[in-house]
Amino acid sequence: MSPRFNEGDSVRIIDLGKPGHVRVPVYVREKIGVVERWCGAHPNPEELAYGRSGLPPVDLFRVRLWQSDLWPDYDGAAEDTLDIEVYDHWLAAGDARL
Amino acid sequence: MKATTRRGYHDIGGRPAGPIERRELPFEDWQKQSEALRGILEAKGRIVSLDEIRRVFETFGQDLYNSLGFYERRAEALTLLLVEKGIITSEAIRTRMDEIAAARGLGVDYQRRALYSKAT
Amino acid sequence: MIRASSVEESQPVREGFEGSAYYALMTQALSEILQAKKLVTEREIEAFIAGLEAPQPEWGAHLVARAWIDGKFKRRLLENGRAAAAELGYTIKEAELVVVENTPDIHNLIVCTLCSCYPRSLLGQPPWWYISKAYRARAVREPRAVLKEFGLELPPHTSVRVHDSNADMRYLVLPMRPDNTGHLIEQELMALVSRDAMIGTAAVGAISEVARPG
Repeated sequence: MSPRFNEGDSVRIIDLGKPGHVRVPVYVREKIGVVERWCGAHPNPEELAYGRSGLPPVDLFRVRLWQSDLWPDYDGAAEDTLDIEVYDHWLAAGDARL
Repeated sequence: MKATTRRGYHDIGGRPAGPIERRELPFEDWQKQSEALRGILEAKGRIVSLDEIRRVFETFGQDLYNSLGFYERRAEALTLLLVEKGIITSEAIRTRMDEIAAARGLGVDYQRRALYSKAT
Repeated sequence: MIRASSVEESQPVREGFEGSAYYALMTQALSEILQAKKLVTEREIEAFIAGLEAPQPEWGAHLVARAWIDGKFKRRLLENGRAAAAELGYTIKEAELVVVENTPDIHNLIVCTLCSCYPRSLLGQPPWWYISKAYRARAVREPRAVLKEFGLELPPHTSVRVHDSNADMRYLVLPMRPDNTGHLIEQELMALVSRDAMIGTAAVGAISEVARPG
């Protein structure tokens, strides 16, 4: 099955509010970015952390975010970005970046 | 209202912090030993996994997390995980720690996570 | 229960590196117990430690130097870091190696905010500052200030791209090749590439610092 998002797609990193071990840091939640690449499918760490198999594997994407969107007081260049890996279930289709 | 998780104490990206100390510390023998134990158990049918280790140190308490460095945190989590899985007991670990320490004229303070000299 | 978020998030992170002697003792006790239970053997421990000690920054520098010399290898390295590393005999044990290229327009910086993920099977153990909480906390929010502390001031037209190594990928920065290095062979180029340059907290220095042949 082909991945849900393609390179260049606008995505929103959602906040699942999920307790337990997750790999999506708070500072990127509810932020909008662009898919940089699909990184293949990998066992879900949220399951592996409890000794389960983590299968079926979950699609992993690298998402590019703009620093000025992440930090209201960011004082670097407007073009500065941050790339982070996000599993499929933490992503929704994003609106165009404002 | 939207469900928002409370930020985990390990989730420190963007938090304020002081200067980065540019230290170069050696990879100590006990750290290698500890990483090896975890790696071997992981390779053997995933008796433990790094994801489980992370889950343990993300839940073993903020004070402990704040006081420990990288390798100490992982060593603590490995022992806790093996106890959780019933592979070892905390009594057995403490008994053996006491024995090894005593042979060196030392005692173990489990509250402070430190060794002290036993005056003879 | 006190809501931790607002109060504690404004507090600086606590570095913490206590208990080394205690954990050395705990590890010894654990090792003896696991050996008594036949779950691990001394031989397995020795072999595993040898595997931990083998990787070193020179391995990464080899990939970088080869990419500088051989444009086709560079394309393969950027396309699939793991496969390209295997060509030179290096086995990346992590899921994938993503190689990110510095250009005059983009400077890349690697950090892992949640734990301390690092391409250990290629570069060995990370430096202490990489696993420090201060670096984990600050590199994503104020990368330019962090780089300045490391002595790297970027020109204003160079944008910074931070990579939070938070999941299954591991990262290696392909630094820019300094000018006036056209006469150097691979081994000499390798010597220019520091560990920090492959994390992104340093650039590869100008050739003037290196003894020229003859």
